[in-house]
Amino acid sequence: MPEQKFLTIDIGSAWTKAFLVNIDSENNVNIEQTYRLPTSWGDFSIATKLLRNQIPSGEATKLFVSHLPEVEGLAKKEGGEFVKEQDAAEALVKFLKKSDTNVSILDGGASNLHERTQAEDVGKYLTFASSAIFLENIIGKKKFKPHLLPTDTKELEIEEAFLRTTFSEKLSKQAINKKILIAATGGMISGSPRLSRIALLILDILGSGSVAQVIFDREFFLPSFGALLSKYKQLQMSTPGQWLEELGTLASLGGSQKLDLDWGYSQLQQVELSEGEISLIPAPKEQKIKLTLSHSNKEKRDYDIVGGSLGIVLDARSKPPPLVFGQAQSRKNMTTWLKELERAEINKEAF
Amino acid sequence: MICPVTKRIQEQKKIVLNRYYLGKGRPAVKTGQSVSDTEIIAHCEISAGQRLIKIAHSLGVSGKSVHKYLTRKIGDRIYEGEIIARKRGVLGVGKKEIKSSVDGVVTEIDERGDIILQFLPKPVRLLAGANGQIKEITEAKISIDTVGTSIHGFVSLGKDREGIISMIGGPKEFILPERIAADSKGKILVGGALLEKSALEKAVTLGVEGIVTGGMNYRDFEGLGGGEDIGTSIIVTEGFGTAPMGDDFWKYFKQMEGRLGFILGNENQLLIPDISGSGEVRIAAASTIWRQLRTDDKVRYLRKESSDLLGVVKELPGNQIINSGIFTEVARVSFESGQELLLPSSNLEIIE
Repeated sequence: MPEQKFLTIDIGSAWTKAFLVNIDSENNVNIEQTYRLPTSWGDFSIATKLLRNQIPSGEATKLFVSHLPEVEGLAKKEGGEFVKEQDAAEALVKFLKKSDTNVSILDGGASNLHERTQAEDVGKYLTFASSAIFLENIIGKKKFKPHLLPTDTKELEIEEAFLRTTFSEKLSKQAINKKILIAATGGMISGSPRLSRIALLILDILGSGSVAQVIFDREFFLPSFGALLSKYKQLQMSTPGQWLEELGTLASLGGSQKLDLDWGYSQLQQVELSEGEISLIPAPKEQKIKLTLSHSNKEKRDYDIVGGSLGIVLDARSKPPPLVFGQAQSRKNMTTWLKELERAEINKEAF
Repeated sequence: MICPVTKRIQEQKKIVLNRYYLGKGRPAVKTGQSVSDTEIIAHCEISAGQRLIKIAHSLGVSGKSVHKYLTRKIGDRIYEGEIIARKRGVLGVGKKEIKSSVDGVVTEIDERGDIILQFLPKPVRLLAGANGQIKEITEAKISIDTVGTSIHGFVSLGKDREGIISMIGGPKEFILPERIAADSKGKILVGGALLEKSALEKAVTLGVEGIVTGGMNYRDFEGLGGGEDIGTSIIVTEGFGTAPMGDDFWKYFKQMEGRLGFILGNENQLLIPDISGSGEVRIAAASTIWRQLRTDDKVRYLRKESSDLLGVVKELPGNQIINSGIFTEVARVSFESGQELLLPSSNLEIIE
C-alpha cells in the first residue's frame, strides 16, 4: 500500500488539535507532527489557520472532526472532509472490538462539563478538605472557560474527580462477564502527568469483579483516528503507532481474594490480596497472561489479559470505594491509594 | 499560544443606546435629530393594572340587575371619589352608594355583578440618557447613536436595565445585605469580591436595577439562570466564588459614581454614555476575539484572593511543567504590584 498523508483537525469545546498523520507502507498510523490551541470560539478558523501554519501539510488530505455542526461549513471552506464525532467514535469502537471484550471509550474532553454532577460526589475523591461551594465554583468556571488548565494539583484532582463521576455512569452499564477494553483519551486523561493517576481514576469507578484492559492515548488523537477510520475503511486493518499506549490490565476484585496468574510457564503464580490492598505487578505489553479470579457467587472465571507500560494492577478495595465527602478518613484513604500507585509506578520506572 | 482578547473597558466607543418605551410610547423626536442626555425623547403611558369591584354584592342586588344601578357603562372613565353605583331606597331607607377608589376606565361588567376598572395610564417621560443623534425609531424603542464607555464582564444575566451607578463596597469586600441601603431603588450597585445570596435577595426586594460585582457563587448564579427575569440584572466581572474586582474596573467605576449606566444583561456589558459630548468618536476596529500571545501584551489572570489581576507578558519561554504537573506553554507575567509569575499561557486573557 502506498504511503498516505492526512492532516486531521479535531475541534473540541475546549481545544483544537491538529495532526499530520502518516500511514506507512505497512499500514502503521504514525503522527508526524501535532499542535494544540484553545478553540477560538466565535471564529473557529482563527485557531485552525494558526495550526495549519504550524504544520505545513502540502498535499495531505484534510479531515475535520467535531461535535460542533458549524465545523462542517469550515471544513468545506478549507477543502476538507467533515466527520461527526459520533461517527468517529462508532468507527473506533468497531476497530477496537474483539469477541471477548466490550469496548468503552472514556473521553475526558470538555463535553463532560454538560453532565450534571453533585459537588458531594466529586468531593469525595479529593485528598484535601474543600466545600461544595468551592467545587461548584471551579467546575462553573470550567463550563464558561473550558480551555483553562489546572494550575495546581488541587485543581487537577478536582478535574479528575469530576471525570470519575461522569465516567462511572458509562462504565456501570458494562456487563462483567466480559473483559472491558477501555480507550482513555482527551482532557485531563491525555494530559495527565502520571499513568498511575489514570489507573486510580479508572479503578475507582470499575465495579467489583470487572477486568479492564486499558489503552491510553497520549496525544489526544483518538477522535481523529476514529474520523480516519470512518472515511477510509482500509484502515480497519491498520496498526496504531506509539501514540496509543498499552497501559496494562486493571482488575477490580471488590475485596480480599486469591487469584491465579498463568504466565504460560510451568507454574501458576498465585497472588493473595488482603481487603483494601492495591498491587501492581510489572508485565510488558507483549506478555500474555491468563487471569483466573472468583466472582461473588464463587464462580471462577478466566480472562486473557496483557501487560503494558504500567503492568497488571490488582485492586482489592470494596466497590464502590468507601468514600464520603467531608470525611477526614476518606481524604486519608485517597491520599494513601494515590501515593501507593505513584510509588509503584516510580519504582517500576527505576527498575 | 492564542488567547481570548478581552476589551474590559472601552472608552470613547461609538455605541448605540436603545431606549425602550415604558409602556405605550409616542416619540417626541425625529430620526437624525440631535439630543442631549436630559431631553425628553418620548411620552409614554404606563398602565399599572386593574381593580375588581363587587357592585352586586355591596348593593345586595342580583348580578343580572346590576346595570340598573351603575352610573358608568363599559368604556367610561371614572375618577377617584366619584360614585360608580347607586341604589335608591324607599323614602331614603336602604339607600347605598359605591365610590371609586381609583382613577380608571370601566372595562368589564360580568354576570355576577362585578366590574373591572382598568387604572388610567400614568404619563411618563422617557429621557434620552445620552448626548447623541436619533438613529432609529420603532414601535418598541428609540435608538440613539452616542459615544460612551463599554465595560465587559465575565458573565451576566437579566434584562436590559438602567440606573445611577452607586459604589457599595471595596473591591475585596463581601457584599452582605447591610451593604444594600434602603435608598438603592433604581440604582446600579457596584463593588465587592462576592455577592452574597441574601444581599441579592434584598436588592431584588428593594427594586435595585442592577449589580456589578467581582464574584458570585456558581450555585447562586445558576439558580437565577432559569430563564425568568428576577427584576435585577447582574454582571460578574471576574469569576465564580470570591473574586476581588480588578483594580481597573474598580478605579473606573469610582470615577463614574453618580452617572447613568445601562446594563445589557444578555451581552455581558455595561454602557456609560459620555455626557460631555465633546469626545472624539473612536470606532473600534473589527474585533479580533482570539490572537497569538506576544511579549509586552497586557494580560489578565484570575488569582485567588487578589485584585491585582492585570500584568504584562515579559517572556514566553516555551513549554514547561507547571505546578499541576502538566507540560504546557508558559508565560512570565509581571503584575502591577511588581510580582512576577510563570503562568500557563492558555489561562491568560489579552487585554486591549
